[in-house]
Amino acid sequence: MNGPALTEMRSKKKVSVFKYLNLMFVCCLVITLLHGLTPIYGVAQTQTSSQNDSLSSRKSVLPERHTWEKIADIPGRILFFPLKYAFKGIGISIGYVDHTKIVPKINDFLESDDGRREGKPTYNVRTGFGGIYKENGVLISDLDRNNLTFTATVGPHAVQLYQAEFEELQIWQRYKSDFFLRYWNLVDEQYYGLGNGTLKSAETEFALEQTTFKANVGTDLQYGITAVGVFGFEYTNIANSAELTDHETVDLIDAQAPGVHDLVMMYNLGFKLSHDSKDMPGNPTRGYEADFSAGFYNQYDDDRFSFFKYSVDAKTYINLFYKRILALRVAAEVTNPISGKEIPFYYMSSLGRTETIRGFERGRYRDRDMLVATAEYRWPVWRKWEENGIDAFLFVDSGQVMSSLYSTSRLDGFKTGYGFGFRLWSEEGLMGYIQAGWSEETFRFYVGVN
Amino acid sequence: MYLNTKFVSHTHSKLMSAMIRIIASLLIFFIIGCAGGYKYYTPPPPVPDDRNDIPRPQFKPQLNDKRDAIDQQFAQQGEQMLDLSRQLRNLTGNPKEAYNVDPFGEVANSSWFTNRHAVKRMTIPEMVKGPCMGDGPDMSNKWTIVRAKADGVTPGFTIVDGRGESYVIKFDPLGFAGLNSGCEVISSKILYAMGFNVPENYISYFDPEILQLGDKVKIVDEKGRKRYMNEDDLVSILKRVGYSENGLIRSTASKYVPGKVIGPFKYEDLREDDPNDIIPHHHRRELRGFRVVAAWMNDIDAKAANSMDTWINEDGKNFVKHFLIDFGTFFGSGGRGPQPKHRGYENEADPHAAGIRILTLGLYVPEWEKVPDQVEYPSIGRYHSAYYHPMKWKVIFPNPAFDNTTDLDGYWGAKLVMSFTDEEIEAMVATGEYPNPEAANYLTKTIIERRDITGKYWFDRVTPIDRFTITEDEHHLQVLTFDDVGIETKIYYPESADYRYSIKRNGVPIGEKVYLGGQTAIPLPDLKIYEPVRNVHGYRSDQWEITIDLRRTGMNNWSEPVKVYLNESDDSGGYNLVGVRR
Repeated sequence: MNGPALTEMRSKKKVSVFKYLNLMFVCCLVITLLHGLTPIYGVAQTQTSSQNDSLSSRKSVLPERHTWEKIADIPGRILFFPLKYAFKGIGISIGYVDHTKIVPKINDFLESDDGRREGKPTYNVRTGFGGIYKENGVLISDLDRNNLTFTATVGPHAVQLYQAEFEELQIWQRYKSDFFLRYWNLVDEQYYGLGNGTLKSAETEFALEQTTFKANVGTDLQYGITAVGVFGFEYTNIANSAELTDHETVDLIDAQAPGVHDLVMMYNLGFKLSHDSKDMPGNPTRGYEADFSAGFYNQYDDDRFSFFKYSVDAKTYINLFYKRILALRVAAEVTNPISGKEIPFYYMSSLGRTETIRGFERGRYRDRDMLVATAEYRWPVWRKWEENGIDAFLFVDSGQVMSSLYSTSRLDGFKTGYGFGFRLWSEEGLMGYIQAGWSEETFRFYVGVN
Repeated sequence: MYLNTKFVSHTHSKLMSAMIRIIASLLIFFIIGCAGGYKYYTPPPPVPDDRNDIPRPQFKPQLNDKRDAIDQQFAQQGEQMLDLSRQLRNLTGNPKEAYNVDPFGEVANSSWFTNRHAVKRMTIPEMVKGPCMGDGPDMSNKWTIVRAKADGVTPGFTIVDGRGESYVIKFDPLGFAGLNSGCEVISSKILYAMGFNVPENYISYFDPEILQLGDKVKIVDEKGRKRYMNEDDLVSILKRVGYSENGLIRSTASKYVPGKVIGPFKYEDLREDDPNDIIPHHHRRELRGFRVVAAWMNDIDAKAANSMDTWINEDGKNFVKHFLIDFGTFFGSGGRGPQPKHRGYENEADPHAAGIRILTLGLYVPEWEKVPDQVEYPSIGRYHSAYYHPMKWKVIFPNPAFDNTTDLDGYWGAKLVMSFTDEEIEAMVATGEYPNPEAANYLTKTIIERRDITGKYWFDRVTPIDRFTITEDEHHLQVLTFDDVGIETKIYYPESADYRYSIKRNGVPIGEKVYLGGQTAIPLPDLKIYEPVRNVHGYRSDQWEITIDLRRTGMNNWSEPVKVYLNESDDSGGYNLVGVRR
């Protein structure tokens, strides 16, 4: 068939389709006008005129919808059908959970009657799912103090975390102590080299196996300042990630990073000063938070690694108007090796975590020192009572790593990430968040549950 | 290339042609619809009495609150949004009106509602007495606890007193004496005076010694365990309630509603096992108009769970009666403390409000956020008139009947609200027995302010010309008189109104528009000068349409007209009122 004939046939088909459409539309109009413009009283009267005295027959007297309404509603009903039953399903499920009180029953099952022992499931973004077992008031009857907590989580590729914490042991008068023991095996860590100019294509992977012990002794000073002395011991092993995962990755090369393939035992001594004047832990609207810490780290079984580490972290919360909060943060870390000694790469500062610059891969930049600043604007989206709610936020993070914080003067080396998210908070603390961060390199999505 | 262009051009011309025909069809039908000549007014059919003898329906337990909330907030709202016929009706200003109204927009007495104060004035003592037939639970004998609610933050009991009567005993939150009990009692008086079925609520001060634990009283504790209640549980519950200065516990004693309890009613659909229930609940004027009342009294928790149906015997007939119960979240009370600030302004999970806040980056500050954090009177909670808007007010979770509220439902509800004078409100607030007189004064003042805002809003939307009667003047000529409810309720000054009317007989205008000034009586034409039109049965079938509108001082335009329909009576030779169309 030649071109013009084919075109003519197509155009005829189109015309007939239009005719049908037109006819259908007019039919719909007639039905609509006949049924839709009839006053409801008229309809009702027509229907009641045929009613009889039987109560059972009265149900059909006043129909909720006329025929035209039922026809007009078909597209919407079809469109909403899956959603409607999804909502119904969610409602039934939540109703069942609420009605049967499964959650308090599980809590009851996991908690002893006297409140001394409790267990609960947990989730850690880096180490997967697991459980927490808590023993309250181990040495004294005060259940809010002397708490011993065991945590165990397991994730893909045998990522593991085992942790024991003993909190708030009163040792003498106002002096309290905490003890912390942790073993974790993180098989999927990234290393991109040292410095602020490393390339993303230089990514290598490694497995970090680490055992940490920490003991803190602290007391509350005046003006809301807390002072804590710290003693720690850490045993670290860096292993080949590819053996533990299925990833076809490039493994970390020893020459590029001090500490690779060494079994390193380090101990540290230090102190930390903290000030916290936030008005509410979960959703601060005003106040300050500041930490300063200093520590000496030294290798226990060799003399290759030895260094000082200082860090300062300051946050302030400004109520702009009606609980629209501007949260500002500045943080810096400085790591100084003792003359002739080195610093294992995993003790250096890194950027790319949620606490530093969002929108970069975790550990994207590493070096001895770090400077980071964050501005976050939060505003309420949903509030339930005054005790919890959901806030939305916009953020800009900026920072850089460097070999020496004091010698650098380059402002163009700052890496910037920006994005938005939502945070679910309660009076006690942050319960969870979802956030998305962008940077010049990539996009990252973060989900956290506390 | 040439062929393609020709094809496209040809298709376009056909498409245009089809569209023109569609538009032309639309126009023709629109014109036919609009210019259809005079439409005779047909009064709505009488609504059958729903108090016929029926067998006992089955008990239907209360729907789970959370399931109901998700259903109402998401499933129902989504369905409404995509309901094309509903959207078309709303778009064309033709929403579906309530089914159970008489020709004058009123509702008949039924198992749902009894016309009281707004129709036939009650005295203040009658209002103060409200639904209460006695003086509360018997204090001379022990109260036996037969049921208890230990979980949650507001514990409560069901007791049987010495007379064998059952009461639900509810407490005020600790530190908020009078918060729940005050609003429970006041609300029950107001709702009863309006015409709703409510339980007898009493404020009761009792010594804990009066309580005794019944046999095998089951409780579900805070850990979800169902077990028998013991003395320790009782002590634990009594530790969580407030005591008055004289060492007694202040509580609400809510008498069991009469009849056999058969579960709550829903604000939508029908009760399938009640043959009397023929009008979908979301199309009942009492429930749609209740939105106005709920907004006024800040009943943010108007839902199925706060209602109760009973199978009751009255006048020798067994039928289902519908009660509103649990008024502990009225006014400023949130049940376990003052209402949170957002209540009444947003649904609990309000996607619309949350969406606006997200999109405006928080720069939009809703009015409720401007309400001070501080609660001035702990016994009143957060109840104020500063940012109150009768139509923007919202319940915790959407209510299907409230979603259907039209202007006419709102007008009906506003008449109920406006039926109370300042003195009557003050007297009913006094039944709350607030420990702090200043708190009671504040509540009275706020209720009055919100009443006036409610009345002004709805009477501005719907012309409040009402209560039409036909009387005779001194020359024995018939006169149509009416009341201006706006003036009667002191929303507008009497001298502010200017009325006018026009008359049509069978659609044919009789004379010009007549300006009445402030007069509320319309002289009707003498029927003797008109030859009657008769129908096939020989009866007079003339219909007279009196169109009345008004303009108040400061208004540029005349209001929406009210059309009153009259016919000619064969018996008296005079006029009969047929109905009103607004």
